[in-house]
Parts: sequence; C-alpha cells; structure tokens
Amino acid sequence: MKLASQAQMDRRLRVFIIGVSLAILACTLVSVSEFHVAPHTSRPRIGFLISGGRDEAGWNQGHFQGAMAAATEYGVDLIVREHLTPRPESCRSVIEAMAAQGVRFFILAGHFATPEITAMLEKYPKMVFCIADAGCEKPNIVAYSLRFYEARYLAGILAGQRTQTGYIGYIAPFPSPEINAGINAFALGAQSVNPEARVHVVWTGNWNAPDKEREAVASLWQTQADILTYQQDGHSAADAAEQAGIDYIGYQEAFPQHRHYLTAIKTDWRGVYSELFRRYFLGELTGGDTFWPGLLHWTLSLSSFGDWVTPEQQDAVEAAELDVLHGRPVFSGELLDRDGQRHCSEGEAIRAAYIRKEMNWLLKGVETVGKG
Amino acid sequence: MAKDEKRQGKRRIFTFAVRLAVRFLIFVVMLFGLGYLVHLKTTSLLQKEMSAFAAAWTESRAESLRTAFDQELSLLAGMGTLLERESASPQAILDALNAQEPLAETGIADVTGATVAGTEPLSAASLQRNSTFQGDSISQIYPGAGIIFSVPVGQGDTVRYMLYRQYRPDAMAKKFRLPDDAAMKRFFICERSTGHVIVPYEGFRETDAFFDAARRTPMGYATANLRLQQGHTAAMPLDGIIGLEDYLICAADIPGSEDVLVGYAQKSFFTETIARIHYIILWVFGLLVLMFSVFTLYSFTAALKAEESDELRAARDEAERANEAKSAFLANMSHEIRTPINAVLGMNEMVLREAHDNAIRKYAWNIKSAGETLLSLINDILDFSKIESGKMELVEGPYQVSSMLNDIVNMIRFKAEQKGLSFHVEVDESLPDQLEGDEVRIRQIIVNLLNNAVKYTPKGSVTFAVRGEKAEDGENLTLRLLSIDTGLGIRDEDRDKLFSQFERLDVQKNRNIEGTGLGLSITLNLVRMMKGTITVDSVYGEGSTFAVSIPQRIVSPEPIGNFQERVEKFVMGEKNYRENFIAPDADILVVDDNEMNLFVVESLLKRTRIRMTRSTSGADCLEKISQNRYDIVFLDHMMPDMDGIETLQRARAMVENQCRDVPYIALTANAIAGAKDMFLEKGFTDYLSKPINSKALERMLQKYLPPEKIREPEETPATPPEEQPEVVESVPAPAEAQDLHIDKALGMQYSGDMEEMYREFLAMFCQRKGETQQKIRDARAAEKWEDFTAFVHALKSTSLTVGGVRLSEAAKALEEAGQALLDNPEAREESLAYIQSHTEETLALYDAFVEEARQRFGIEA
Repeated sequence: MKLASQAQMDRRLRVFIIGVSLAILACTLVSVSEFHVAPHTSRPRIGFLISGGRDEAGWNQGHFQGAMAAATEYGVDLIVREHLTPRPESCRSVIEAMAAQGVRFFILAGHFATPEITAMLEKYPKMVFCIADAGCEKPNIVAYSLRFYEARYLAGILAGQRTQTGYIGYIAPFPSPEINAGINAFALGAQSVNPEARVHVVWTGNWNAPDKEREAVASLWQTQADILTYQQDGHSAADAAEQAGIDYIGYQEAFPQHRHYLTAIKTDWRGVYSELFRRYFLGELTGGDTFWPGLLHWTLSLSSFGDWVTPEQQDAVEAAELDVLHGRPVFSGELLDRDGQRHCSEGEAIRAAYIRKEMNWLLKGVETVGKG
Repeated sequence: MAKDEKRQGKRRIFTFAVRLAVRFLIFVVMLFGLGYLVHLKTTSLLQKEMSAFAAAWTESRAESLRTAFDQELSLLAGMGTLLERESASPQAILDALNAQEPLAETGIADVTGATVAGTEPLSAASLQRNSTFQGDSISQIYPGAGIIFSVPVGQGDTVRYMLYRQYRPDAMAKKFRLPDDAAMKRFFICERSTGHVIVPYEGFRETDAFFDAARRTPMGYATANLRLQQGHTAAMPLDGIIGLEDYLICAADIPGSEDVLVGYAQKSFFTETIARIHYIILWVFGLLVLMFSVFTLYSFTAALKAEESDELRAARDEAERANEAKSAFLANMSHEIRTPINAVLGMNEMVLREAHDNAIRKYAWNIKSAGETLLSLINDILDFSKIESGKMELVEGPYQVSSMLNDIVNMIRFKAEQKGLSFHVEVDESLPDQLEGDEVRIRQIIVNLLNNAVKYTPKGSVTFAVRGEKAEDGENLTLRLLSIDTGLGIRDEDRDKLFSQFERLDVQKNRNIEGTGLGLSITLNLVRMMKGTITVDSVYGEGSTFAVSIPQRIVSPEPIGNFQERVEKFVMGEKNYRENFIAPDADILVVDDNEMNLFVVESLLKRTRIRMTRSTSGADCLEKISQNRYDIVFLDHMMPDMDGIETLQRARAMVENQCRDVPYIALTANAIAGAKDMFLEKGFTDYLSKPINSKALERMLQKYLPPEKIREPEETPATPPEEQPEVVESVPAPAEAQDLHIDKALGMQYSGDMEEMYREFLAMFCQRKGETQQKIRDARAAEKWEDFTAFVHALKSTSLTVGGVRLSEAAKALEEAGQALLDNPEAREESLAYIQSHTEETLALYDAFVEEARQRFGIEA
C-alpha cells in the first residue's frame, strides 16, 4: 500500500517535472522567435472627403474610384465621407471623427479650398491634408491637381479646327486662376489654328449645377457656339449638348456613343493617388508641397476622338502635344488679355507658379456670356 | 555475500553514472538545439541590423550625390541671375562655367528650343525644357546620353532662356562616380525602373562579378528593386550568387530623381564588430553549460545521499522497532519475575521468622540478601524499560524532606556501616521541609547515587549533602544533592560512558560489584525528566562527587532545622530498639470502629504481652478513659459519629479523664504528607499509618511506653511450632497468578508474618462479608452517603490487611466517589453514576475474595 502510493507519487512528480520542462522549453522557443521587434500591424487609414456622392459620374466618381484603387494597391483603409458641404464646421467634425479612428492623412477631393476651411485645417498641424486645388499653399496642406490647361490647349486646337461659326462655348463655375488657365489655354489652342476663333464662357456659379449647366448650353446655342466644352463636376452639359446637337468636348469622362462627342479630357486619378500615397508612405510628402503633374507625367490626356474628327485634325492635335512635350510651354510667346495688357512677350514663357496662383485674367478673344 | 554486495554496489554506481550521462546528454542536446535557434535568430537579427546599417550608409551616399547635383543647379541659378540682369554676356557666362568645370558642356536655349549660345543640349533633354521654361530647376539623367542640369532664366513671372550644363556619360562618370569606401564599394548609378547602369564604378568591366551582363543591371538588382518600391533604400544579402556571398547589395533612391545608387557592402566589414556578440553569447552559453554541469553533479550527489539516508532511516526504524520489542520483552519479563521473587522472599521471611536452627537462618539470610538484590535489579530494568518506552511519568505532590531523608539515611547508613565505611550527612538547616515534587523518584535518585557510592568505595567515607538554593521568587528552589565518596573514582576516558545504558566501567576491577549498569542511566533520565542536571567530578583512585540539581516548588518555607541532630537522636532511639521485648504491666487502649483493625493490633501485641483494651467508638473510648488509666491511647481518625480528632478534643476537655497526660497516637489510613503535622496540631502525640506494620507499632510502643514497663523477654525455650493444620494452598498456575484476589504475602505482612494470625484475619474477614455487604447496600439505598463512605472506607483498609488488593482498590474508588459526592455537589451526578454502577461490582469482588479464600486456604465463611 505504502509502496504503491510512493510509486504513484514518484510518477506524478516525474510527470510534473516533464510538464514543467516542456513548458519552459516552449516559453524559451517562443521568446527566442519573438526576439525581433514586432512589425506594426495596424493598417494605416486614409480619410477621403468629397462634396458629392461617390457614385456621381464625373469628378466625384473619378476621384473616389482612383483613390480606392490606389488604397487597395497600398493596402490601406480608405475612410470615405461623401456629400460633405464645403463648410469649416462640417469638415471639422468629420476630421475630428476620423482622427479619433486613427486617420492622420486626409484627401479633400471636393472643392474645399476655401480660405475658411484651409484656416480651420491649420489647427491640425500634425495631420497632412491633400486638397485638390493647385493654388493652395499652407504648412500642413499638400496642393494636388493636374495641369489641365495643357490638355485644354490640345482640346482648343481640335475645337479651333472644327468650328464653323468661330464661336466655341465654355461652361465653368466661376473664375479662379486654375479655371482661368484652362479657359486661356483652350482659347490659345483654338486661336493657334484659327486666329478668329472666340471662346464664349458661361459661369454657372457652382461646381455642381445641372440646371444652370443645361441653361448654359442653351444660351451658348443662342450665341451660335457650335462646339462647347465644360468644367463642372457632372455631365449635364454634355448631355444637353448631345440633345441640342452641339458638338462638345467632355471632361473627366468620355461618351463615345454620343453623336456629338469629339473627345474628352481624361485623368488618371488612380495614378495621381497612387503617387500621392507612395510619396506619403515614403515620407516624401509634407505639408506645403504641390503635386501638379501634367502631360509629361502621363496622368493627363485626351481620350479617343469621336467619329467625326478627321485624321488631319487628329494629327494637328498630336503635333501640338509633341511640341509641348518637347519643351514649348503652353503659355509662351506674346499673350494679351482682354484689356490688351501683355502678360508674356515673344520668346518668353510664363512660370508655372504664376499659372497656379495668379492667373486672374482671361485671354483676348474670350468673352463671357450672361451675367458673368 | 560480501562479493554479492560489492557487485551490487558496482552496479549501482554504474546505473548512477549512466543516468548522469543520459541527463547530461539530454541537457547538452537541448542546449545545442536552443543554441542553434538563438544562433539563427541572432544571425538573422544581425543581418537585418547590418542591412539597415548598410542601407542607411547607401542613403547617405545617395544624398551626397543629390547635394552634388544641387550644387550644380545652384551654380547655374547664380549664373542665370547674371544673365537675367544682363550683367554679363551669355558667352562670358558660358565661358566662366566651362572654365569652372571643363568636363561639362554648357549652353543657353530659348523658348523655341533654339540654342542661343554654347553647346546644343542633349536631344533627350527636350522633355525637360517644358518644365524648365515653366520655372523649374531640373537635373535629369538620360541613360546613355548623360546628365543635364537646367535652370530657367527670366524676370518676373516669365522665363526667357534655359541655362543648362550637361555631362556626357564619360564626363558624368568622372564627375559623379562614387569611390569605394571602407564600408562599401562598386557604386553604380542606375535607372530606378529598369536598373540599367548609367554610371558605373571606376574601372568597370562588363565581365565583373558585380555586373549582370544579361540584364545590364548591377548583380541582384531585381530583388533590391522590389524592396525599393516600399522605401527609399534596400539592402540585402546576395545569397545564391556565386562569388558574392559575402556581399550585401545596397540601393538608395537619389532624391528628386528617377535614379538609384547601388553599391555593395562587404558583410565582414560589418560583422567584424558585430561578431563579438556571437562570442558573448557563446560565453554565456558556455557558462550556462558549466553551471548546469555543476548543478547536475550536485543534484546527483544529493540524490545519492537521499537514497543513502532513506536506507539509513529504514535501518534505524528497524533498529528502533527491535529495541522497542526488546524493551517490551524486558518489561514483561521483569514483571513476571517479580511475582515469583516476591513469593520466594515472602516464604523466606517466614523461614527466617519461624526457623530456630541457626544454619537454616543463615541460609535464609543469604536467600533474602540475594533475593533483594535480584528484586532491585529487576526494578531497575522495569524503570529503565518504562523510560525507554516513554511510559515513565512523574507523580508530583507535596512531601516532607526530612521524612524522605530519614528513610534514605537509615537505609544507606546501614549498608555503609556493614561495609565499614563512615557515613556523613550534611543537611542545610535553612532548607524548607515541605517541597513539592515526585518524592518517590527523588528518593530513587538519591538511593541510586548513594548506593553506588557505597558500592564503589572500598574504604573511607561516603558523605551525603543536601542544600537548597532558593529562587528569587521565593516559591521555587533548586534542590542540590551531593554524593561524595572516597572510592575508586572514574577514569577520564570513561566519563562519557558513565550514563550510558548497560555500560559498566572498569570492568576488570569492578567485576565483583554487582549491578545492571542501568542505575546511572535511570538516574540521569529521571533528573532530566525533572528538568534538573547531574554533574560528576572525579579523580581516579581518589573518589567521586556526584552533584544533582533539581528544581522543586516550595510548599512552605519552614526550615528543616538541624536534621543532623534529629538523625542522631533517631539513631540513638533506633539503637534502643529491641527486636523482642515484653511489657506485661502496660495497659493500652485501642479505639477503632473496625473490629478487624482491633484484632490486628491485638494479634500484633500478643508477643509483647501488653494488656490491650478494645473500644469501637469515640463515645465508648471517652467512657473507658474516664474509668481506667492507660499507658497509651491509639485513636482511629475516621470513625462514624465521632471521629478521632473530636474524641481527643473531648477527652482533653473531660474533667474525669484518667488519661489526660498519656500519649494519644492517631491511627490513620490517609498517610499523606502533612498528616503528621495535622495530627500533632490537633493534639496527638504521634501517628501511625494503617495498615499497621508490626515493627512500626513496636517502635511506637517502645518510644511511648514508660521505660520501666519494658522488659527483656524471658528466655523461653523455643516453643515447638504448634500443631496446626498444614496450609493447603493450592498454588494456581503461574498464568493465573495475576488473577488472584488475595495477595497472601501482603496479608502476611500485616499479620506480623504469622500464618496463624493471617488465617484468623482471613476467616474473620470472610465471616463479615454478609454484614458488610448489607450495610453498604442499605446505606446506598437510603442515600446516606456519609455512612456509605465510611463503610467503603472500612472495607478498603480491612481488605488490604488480608491481602485483598483488588477489593481494596475498588473500595477506595467508591470511597473517593462518595467523598466527592459529599464535598462537591456540582459533580453529584457523575459521582452518583459511578457509585450506582460500581457498588455491586465491588461487592462481587468481595464474593470472589471469599470464594478464593475458601478454595486456597480452606476457610469457610
């Protein structure tokens, strides 16, 4: 009896010792394998704010899809807030909420470049905000946009060649250096092939104003514009032009099925965001930077031409594109505004910084239609 | 047998060694495994660290390259300003630039792309012109063409010219190639996306190991490029590429360009310093192994020891069990032997008393002496086995020191004098007489020491000294007992053995001295039990001094006084004691409610021819003393109605008392310590404890009878033994001996060792059975507990007189219960229960006693 219990105890002790040894061994192995610093596993998060809906064709959808694709490429979470009114209070509350979720990098893809909002953003010095407006310069803001004017210049060449009446319509929300640059480049392009060409600008007053845009198309038709283009968030102008039987040059999206579609200004938003994210994650992107690629960087181009565009017209556009790519800036040579004031002389080119921030004039040959 | 053991031992050592080796091996394997893991881990960590280091190094080189580019641009910008302000002619500016760097080509272009002055720009650079004219300063490498630095020249918001400087490939290589340095070598500048080499290192050949001629990239660039897409830098080992195993490929983006700087770092450069960590780890592990070895060895020996001690423990347990068995056996044996020896001694006593033939008496004396020695030896063994088994217990109570010393001194003096030794007693006069302790055991200690002293002292003296050292509290005292002899002494080397069991010293010399060798061992144990100490001081051949110190409690501080004197006096008295005397003229009165006792006294006095008057109650006594004069009055203490003390008080107060000045001697069964004082205080002259011992009675008579009435016995011829019926005692089988109700030897003792008298007592006791039983039963039924107690008390003492030890014990228990019932009403229930359940039992013992008397001695009730 006693002997049996002794043996039992011995066995238990042995089992216990073996168990403890195994546990120690396991602990040692685990700790050895965990010697290195644990890689930080939490996926970075990026805030994405737009003023329209993510499914709204045009500007909003283009940005959202591009940002989403880039986020997927980099394996980051995109926290999206759509339908955000561009006012400081609403933006602040969204930014605060996202910051609480760990977001430190924001994309403000809507038209948020108002002085009020940028002043509000300055109160978050540890965050980086990317605002889709080339003219913005603040310590914690990255201004990003595209040199749309380069593409507008090419579009202008196409429009200048095709206009019968010599009047080309241009629908835009309101004057700003970036918008002015687009109009001026378009006019410059048209005039380079058709010196008599005139550009009729209709201000809609808003980035997203479908009714105004349709109205604008109507009023342009009245001014005998036989080709038009636009710079709005949506495509109401394109649809209206198609219905009205006016040839048009699209923006952001191509509708090759339209009979009056000539071409469209196409943007590779995915490429833009991809580069933005890359630079951010590499630490190359800091507040105050400007990211403003153009034709040279393959993020901007004209989409395929409509059926009515002749090969000669296409060649002329391509020749102009090569000319730009090989060194001749769009805004070069003698440039006079509507008041006859010279902004660039023969043999000169305008600096990009000026175009971004200070182009507050419209080229000679540009006329505004309506209240303006 | 021994061979077997040896072989077994060898095998055990072998198994231990194997076990040790296996354990050690397991540990080493574990350690190696762990070490390998750690090695892998540290290596990979080191590599990582090394890579990071190399990458950082490369990055800094890439930045330095950038700085060089920026220097070019700022130089050009400076020159552009001069041109802008038209401070210098374009040609002068170009000349200045060419002079500054002959390797480069410079030029100025306008917006149309036409070259205004200097060298035509590289054709590839047209792409760069657009940006430059929009205001950017640019440096750009064109694979196969070279590098161009271009700055815009223009006032305000417009740009008029582009000022540029370009290096063709050879010049670029010369200007911007990075030399090998301590950490890295073989720098390439490559196009980031393709990896095509733009600027190779100096002395580059396409067959070099660092160049991947098939891809036209640096060796291992493809993997580095993958890493580069996740960061600015990359560094990784070139494992698997023959000849470059010792290298890391390191790449870093050149900031603000599409190009990468690629270089190769030699691992050994980094590891040279880092490899020390390996040594440190090696050291630590080595130390661990060492420590573990030591630990294993230690635990091994510990296990060995534990095994040994297990065996030892088992052996010890075995030995203890054997020892216990031995002790039990000894105890049983001693007890068994004691009974027949008592019988022998008792018989011998009878022979001594009855034989008149001197030769027979001499033989009987010899028997007595040998028997007593044997008995004392056996008692020693019994005590010893009690101590061994832990059954020895001290029974503490108050006792009288003088009385105890008296008995001891008498005994030892006798022995000493018989051996021709002088015996001195020194007792401290201030020693309190009343102490509390185990008198019996203290007595044993002293007797043992003094007996030894007498035994081992051939001539000279034995001195016994008693002192007391009072403690400060006045309640305790250390009793110091000294035995000083002029005997053989103890050799120094024997001193340690002195107190060990069965050990006898100096065997050769002491072979004539009897003893078990247990005496001192028992003494030592007893002293220890009493929390005392014992010390020995001895000079071999001159004598020994044993000193015992025992703590005792003081009952009353009254000093013992001059013990010496009292002893002397007693000895004198003792010397006057005559074995045989007659006092035919003396009259004594003996008062006792128990007729048995009266009969005993009468019988004991028969020889002295003293005239004895019997009285059975206090009242009767008073009447008798008022009428007659007696020489001594013996007065029983416990009597119904009027007890001895009351009787004495009345007698003293009585006017017509004729015996006012004679000694009154108390008879008591409660021979407890302090009883004597109590009786003396109450007016008694002395006291005699019951059962009455003939010698004590005779001594008392000699002491208190008027000397003129004591005479020498007349020379009467030895009367032939009376014809009396032969005692037909059917001695029972030894096994039943203990079951006997009657201890005849004891009874004989109380019968003056007279067979005839004993038989008479016995008969009388048996006859009174019915009456006694009836009285006890009646008292119990009537719940007259005082009477009941008195009756069982009487039964207790009378039954003891005739050797009814058991009956006496049972009666004693009943008496105690009765006394408790009277004294302590709280325990009434308990006492009552005891009385109810045990009375009949006791009376049954009485029946059994009578039955045995009938069977053994033929006495009919």
